[in-house]
Amino acid sequence: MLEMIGAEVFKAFKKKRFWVLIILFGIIAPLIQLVTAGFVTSRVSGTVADTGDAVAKAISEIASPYSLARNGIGGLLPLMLLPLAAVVGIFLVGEERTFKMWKTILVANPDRMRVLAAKFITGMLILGSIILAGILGGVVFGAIAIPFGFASSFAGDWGSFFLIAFLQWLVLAAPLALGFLISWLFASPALAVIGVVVLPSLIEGILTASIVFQLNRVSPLNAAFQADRLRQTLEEWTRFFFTPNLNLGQRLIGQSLQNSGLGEFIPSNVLPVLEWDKIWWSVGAAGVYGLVFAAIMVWSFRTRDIHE
Amino acid sequence: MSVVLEVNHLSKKYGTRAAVDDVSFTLNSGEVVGFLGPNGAGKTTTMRMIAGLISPTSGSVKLLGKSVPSDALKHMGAMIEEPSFYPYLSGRDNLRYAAKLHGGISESRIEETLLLTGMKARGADRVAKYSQGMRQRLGLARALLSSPKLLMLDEPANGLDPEGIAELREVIKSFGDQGITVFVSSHILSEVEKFAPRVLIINKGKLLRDSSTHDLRPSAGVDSLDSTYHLETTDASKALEVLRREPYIQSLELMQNGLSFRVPKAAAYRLAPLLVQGGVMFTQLKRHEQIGASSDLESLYLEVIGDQGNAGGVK
Repeated sequence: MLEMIGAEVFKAFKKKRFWVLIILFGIIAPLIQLVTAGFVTSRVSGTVADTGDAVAKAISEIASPYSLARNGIGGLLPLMLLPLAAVVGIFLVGEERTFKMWKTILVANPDRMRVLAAKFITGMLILGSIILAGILGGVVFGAIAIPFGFASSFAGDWGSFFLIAFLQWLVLAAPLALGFLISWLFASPALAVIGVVVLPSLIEGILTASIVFQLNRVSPLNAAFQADRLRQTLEEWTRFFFTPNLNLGQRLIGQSLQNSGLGEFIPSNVLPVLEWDKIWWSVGAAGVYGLVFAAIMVWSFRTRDIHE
Repeated sequence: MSVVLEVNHLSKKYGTRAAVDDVSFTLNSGEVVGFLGPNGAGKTTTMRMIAGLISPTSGSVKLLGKSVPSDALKHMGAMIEEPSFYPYLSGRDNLRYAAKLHGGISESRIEETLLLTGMKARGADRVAKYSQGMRQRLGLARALLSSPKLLMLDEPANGLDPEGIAELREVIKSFGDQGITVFVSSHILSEVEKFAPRVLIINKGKLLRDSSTHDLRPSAGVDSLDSTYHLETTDASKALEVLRREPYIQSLELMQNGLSFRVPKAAAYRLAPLLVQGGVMFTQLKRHEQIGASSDLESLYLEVIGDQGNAGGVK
């Protein structure tokens, strides 16, 4: 098993796209934030618009070691969750079909369960290294920025941060399983990307629309009741959806903004704060989705003939 | 000789169509066996079932006494249909990846197989830049990585030039001498008979014949005999040009140190003057073997596969 994981990791090392992602998360994203902080400092700090310590606070929220690391997990990663899962799924499963490599892999290692497990572990390692690159890049660039006055220390809620980062990595197993499944089912990599990125949101959108369509026509008598019913139903339903449960890192940003007073005008459903019961619920829900995707994948992978 | 591969009543059906129908045979250690049949006869499906890639509808495959698929497959090297690789990796890195998948294969073994297949010089190039022939060679190198007891090659000569085919033939023969069982599919009888003492003929999923190449050959009269000649020369391209002009010279192939070709016995006396007049310098012109006329053997093959409706199994 270890040698098989080694084989997949060896292959990933030679693939440029993963280095591009590592560079994006570890270098480009923190660098852009530092440039933004520098721009704000040079243009606003000390001017008439700089009342109190608002600018210093804002810059600290952007450019301290903790903020940069946190923004990697809570800012960039949520945007990239499903595309990342699709890219890794296509690399580890879909491309074997595109390049007709299954016949080579499964003759060298006929235990299909072991092959699949090795690929899945490799996928988690790749996703983990991208997250880690974001954290390390944030900390390093943040440290470099301290002498320039962007931040004064490494301070931050590191305990919650590392726990959320770890849970976020675990939760990524669900979209990765979906990425594997869709890449296995669809021969075309383009279809697989669309399937992973668009399909869950599309299904959830259709379900949401079906709730709205079931509402009665609004009248002066039922307007308040209808609005309340819609809000309750949407809140109840979306708890069970796939995509809303994937993004844990965003809560770190919400919490930080609330603590600093900068987030008072942002609604909690747009930028939720750290609520651990909701976080554990999301981990559980993602786990259930992941298990369902993995079960279908395992069944199909074990039984399908390899004709490519 | 110990049995390496046992195929028992193997069948694969897609709906009502039988791609492979009750095929049984065994391969012994060190045997070089040809697997003949026209395109779509069921050769690749049979090989895929042996490799554990396709599950049979009925029947079984045992490799070294163990049912397939199992870890016994680690003792098999396979090149099924055209060999495939990761185009973004070099040839050497593709072998490294395969070696890691197998487990327990050293870097020196990778270099050894690259050398054996003549790919060492191009090992660092990305596979995307390889020709079809180079891919075939690299596929063979990969199949040999694990020092297999059974080597299964599906149409290995596809895409190779005459020189490559001649080299491949010699390499396959040498595997048999090393005790490796070699199972090679092809749809060209004249190709297989050069290295395989035994052939299996399959068509429309049924195994029609399992016999030695010698037995398959019809008894031919002396007048219908062809002779295979080997011309040793350093100027093979010029010799090729001269001999190609003569319509009675067939199966011209470049060898490592010259050419081989077939000539009807009655026309053999013309060879030496022809080469001298053509200005070809050669060190030796040697009759290699005398065999039945190729047309007879090919027609027998066509007769076997054409007559399968009445055959119903191994003759």
